[in-house]
Amino acid sequence: MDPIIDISQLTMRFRRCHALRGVDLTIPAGTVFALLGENGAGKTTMIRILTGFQKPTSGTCRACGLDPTRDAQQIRRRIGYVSDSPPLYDWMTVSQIGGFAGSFYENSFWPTYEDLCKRYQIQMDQKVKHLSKGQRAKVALSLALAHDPELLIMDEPTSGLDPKVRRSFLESMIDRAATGRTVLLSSHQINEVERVADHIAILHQGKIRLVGALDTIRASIQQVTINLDDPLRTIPTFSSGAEVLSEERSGRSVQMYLQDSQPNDMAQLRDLSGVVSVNHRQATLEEIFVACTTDDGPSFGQHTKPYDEQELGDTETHDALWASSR
Amino acid sequence: MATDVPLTPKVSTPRVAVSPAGHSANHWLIWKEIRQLKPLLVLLVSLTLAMIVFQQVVELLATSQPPNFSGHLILLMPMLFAVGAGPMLVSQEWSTKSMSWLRTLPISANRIITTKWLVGLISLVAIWIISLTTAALTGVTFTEQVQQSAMQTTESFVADLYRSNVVQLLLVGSLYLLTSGYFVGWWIRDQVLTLVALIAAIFFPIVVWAITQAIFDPNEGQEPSATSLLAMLIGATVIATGLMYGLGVRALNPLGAPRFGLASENAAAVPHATTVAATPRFGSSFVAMVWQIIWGARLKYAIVVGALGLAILLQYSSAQGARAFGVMIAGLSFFGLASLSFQGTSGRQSIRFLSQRGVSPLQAYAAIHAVPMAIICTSFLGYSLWYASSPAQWGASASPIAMLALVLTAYGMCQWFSQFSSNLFISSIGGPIIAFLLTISLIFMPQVGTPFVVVGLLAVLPYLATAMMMRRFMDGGDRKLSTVLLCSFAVLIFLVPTGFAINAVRSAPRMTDAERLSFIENGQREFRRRRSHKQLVPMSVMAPRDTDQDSLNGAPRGDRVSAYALRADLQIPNDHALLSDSGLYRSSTFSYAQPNTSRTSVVQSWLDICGHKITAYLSAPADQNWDELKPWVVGSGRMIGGLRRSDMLQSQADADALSALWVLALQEPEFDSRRQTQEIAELVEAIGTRRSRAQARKHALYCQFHKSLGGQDQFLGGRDRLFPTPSLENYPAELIHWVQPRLQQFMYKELLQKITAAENNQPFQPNPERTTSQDTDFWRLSSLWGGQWESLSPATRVAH
Repeated sequence: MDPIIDISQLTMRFRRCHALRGVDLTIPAGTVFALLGENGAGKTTMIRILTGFQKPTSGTCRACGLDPTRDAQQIRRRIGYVSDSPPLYDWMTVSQIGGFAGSFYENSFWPTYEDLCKRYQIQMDQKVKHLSKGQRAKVALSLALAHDPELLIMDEPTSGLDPKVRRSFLESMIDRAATGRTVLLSSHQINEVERVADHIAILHQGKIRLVGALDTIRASIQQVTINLDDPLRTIPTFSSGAEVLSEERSGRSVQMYLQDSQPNDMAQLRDLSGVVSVNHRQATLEEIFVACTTDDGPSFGQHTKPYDEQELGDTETHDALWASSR
Repeated sequence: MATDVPLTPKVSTPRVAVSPAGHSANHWLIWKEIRQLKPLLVLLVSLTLAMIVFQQVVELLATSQPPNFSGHLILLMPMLFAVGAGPMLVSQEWSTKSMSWLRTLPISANRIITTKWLVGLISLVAIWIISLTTAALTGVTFTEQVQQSAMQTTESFVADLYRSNVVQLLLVGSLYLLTSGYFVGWWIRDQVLTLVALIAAIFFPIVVWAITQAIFDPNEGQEPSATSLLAMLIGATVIATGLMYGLGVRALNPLGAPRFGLASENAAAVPHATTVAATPRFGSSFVAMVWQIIWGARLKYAIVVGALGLAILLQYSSAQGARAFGVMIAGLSFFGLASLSFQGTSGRQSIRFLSQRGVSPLQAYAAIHAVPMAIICTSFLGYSLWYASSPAQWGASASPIAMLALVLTAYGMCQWFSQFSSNLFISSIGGPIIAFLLTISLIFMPQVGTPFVVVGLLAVLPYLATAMMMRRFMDGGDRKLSTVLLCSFAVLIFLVPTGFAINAVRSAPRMTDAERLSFIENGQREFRRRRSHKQLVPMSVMAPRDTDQDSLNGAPRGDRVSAYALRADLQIPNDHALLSDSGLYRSSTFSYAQPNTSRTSVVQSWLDICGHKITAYLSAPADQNWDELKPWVVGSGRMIGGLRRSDMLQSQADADALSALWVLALQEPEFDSRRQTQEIAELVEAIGTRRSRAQARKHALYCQFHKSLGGQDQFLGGRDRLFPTPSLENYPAELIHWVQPRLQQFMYKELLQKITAAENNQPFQPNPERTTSQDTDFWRLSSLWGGQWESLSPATRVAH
């Protein structure tokens, strides 16, 4: 089955920063895909490129099999887009804005829109400017869903919604995925993502740091806490190829997130001299997100020698190693 | 007493919305655009109605011929609509970000652009039809209305635009304005900058046309052809349409990736580079607030300050057109400052930000207006310096203090409208117009008997109202109360003067039978004694192009005044001489002459030029400068003589102003060596004595009285519009019979008393029978020979 979104080496450069730096991403159809990242990570830029609002500096992307830079209008016919603060026409009524938007789609738009508004308990003759933030979000979602788009793109859709609506909102996304439609969700709400997403990607400083099925990612990342007898001791890299996503020191305790670690990695750690104890467990998505978007401390292969080549040395040696890793 | 009421549960019936499905996309798009234009259309219709009412009130109350405001409607409405439509439909959509949502719909860029433009065009046509219908209903033909408006609103070469092709020029002009509004809207997505760029775009074809004329046909520079401007406008419209489409497509299609040169490559290579900005430090929170407001709109303030600086510099120019242009720029800048005070980043957003930090409404109010007030006051300091260096202005035009008061009054009203209207374009169009109307109302108020204290209070009222509304505004605004306050003030500003006017008319003492008989006899006698040939009547006259060239543009022309008087092709009766305004004309199908009841621009120009020449001579009293001044001495002498022989009171006022200027100048020691020259001797003789001046004024007064009783003036074809005869023919006879005898008899009587007091060098004492202390007549006349005139300058006392 063709992917609904296919991005290759996508780069977007603005005057002061690289918003996207060679992003490669493939989103399969019929999934709920969550795009996670801090503020300014490049999520909205990526969505703007996908929806044909912005041309990239380089790279290619296709949404619904179409090139957004050339076929923006066709793409917009096939997708639904909800932004975090939907800029609707304030002076229109809910009914009028539905009628207006519906005139550009098939005839089925209006009954679906009416149903959705009824489900969200929005009065059709109310003016948009008199709606609360949550109600506006509901109207925006109804407008985006009413033409039954193949791909629904949502940028922080649940901000301002009460928990009850948020729940039904998220459930409707799962329903959509079940019918073969795709949902691309950009959000900071990790717990929501955990509940609805099949696949996630974590974007950090314009690069994809982690991508894959949510269950696989969760299963592959361990939080490891190591207690040392000396706070200045360093920890070498793992010979198994496990990647240290982040490392944080607090006194004699070192906390790290390891991806793709093997069972014998823990045993090796425990056997190292200077290691008092090693605890590990499966990381939560929130911890994974923080680990992937933290710049502090040594990480990502800064451990110069693998375990099988190095023993933890004395304090002086560790001083030198720590300094070099800095 | 208790009654048994059956308790029934309240059942709320949900309102059922009519399904809007079934209409085509085009229908919806057009509906949306028209609906977005609604505020502008409502504003224009409201303003039209307000101006018609205002015109009626002014005509009823004013004792002189009031400006024809309704005559401007035909130009104003379509032009204002053309200017506002593009920004309303394009820039506003960018500002409210609704364009972003529109772009998520599957609509092509061309369709959006075309629909918006077509809706604007169709609405413009509709507005033209409404304007023409209004003109027809008020009984004014299109050509006459337009030409009158053109004559009243324009001077110099701009008036020539209306010489021919007037209809085409206006239609094409409005189309150009409309298209350039769209073009600027698609180009610049910031509302404030759009307004600034739009002003530049409006003047662009005229500037290009003027430059082209100057380069390719310098001899015709003073008399440019309207056809060439028409061609220029058509070309500009075509170009603006192309640009509009190009920029619109660019704006609506995916934005291109930014391109960088080599210098920024390195900077861009650092992801999310952070720059260390200097942290501003402030001595007090108020300074911080002012900084925030200035910094938020630094570009706006830079443009306004630059424009005002240019306006002040232009005042030093010797060309009258340049000075008028400077005044126009200054006016636009002041109105811009006021209209934007509560708009944009420096307005609403800053104020809401301050509100969230617990700043008091009054502090926020002071912070908003601190910078504009400083800019206005500094500008007037510059204006004062120019004013002080221009002797022609002494006693001849409004003082800087009076001008400052007027500007602050207009500013107050404009900023109130800015607080009331959340729409930048409505605020920018409606604010200045309402401010203009209400300020004019305030100026008229003393003339109809409103005490100055009341006028002052009404002038301050907008500031008080805005300050009162600040708390609500900062909390998100309560439009209903604002609307009530705004409407109340508008009603108040019409009702207050009406009440005082009625009181003034009621208290005006009528002539006794003996006084009336004396006036009638003197009027008949003086009217018969009118001098022929040498009488000078300042007039706005439409004459063929080749007959009234160079009026004051070339050499001083006092010695040619008589030649104008005898010009046969204008068919001026022999008992009138003519001093023509430049730029006005008579077309082949239409002839019109309207004596001015206010100082003509040609007399003002004469005063101005004389002032500059005198200043030049006083700074270097060499023979060369004297030779340059001499023709103006001779010309002024002849002009004063001609004006004194006039049977119009306004001519006497003009003669007084000119006399005052020269009396003041001749007192300077630099003129000691020239006093014996023949030129000075003739001028002194023309200025005359207190007695001779009083005789001339009385002659004019009696002649005017005679004409006001029905003595028709051949030259005017029976339309006596010379002096305080209200054009009351359209009003009920009962009202005329009530107003006219009281007001007119009182005015003539009191004017005679003033002239007599001036003749005897005594201060004028108002008639004790009057219950109001204010002069209720035409202010210029009331001040001529009374205490106010004396106080203007030392020279006027001598000339008195």
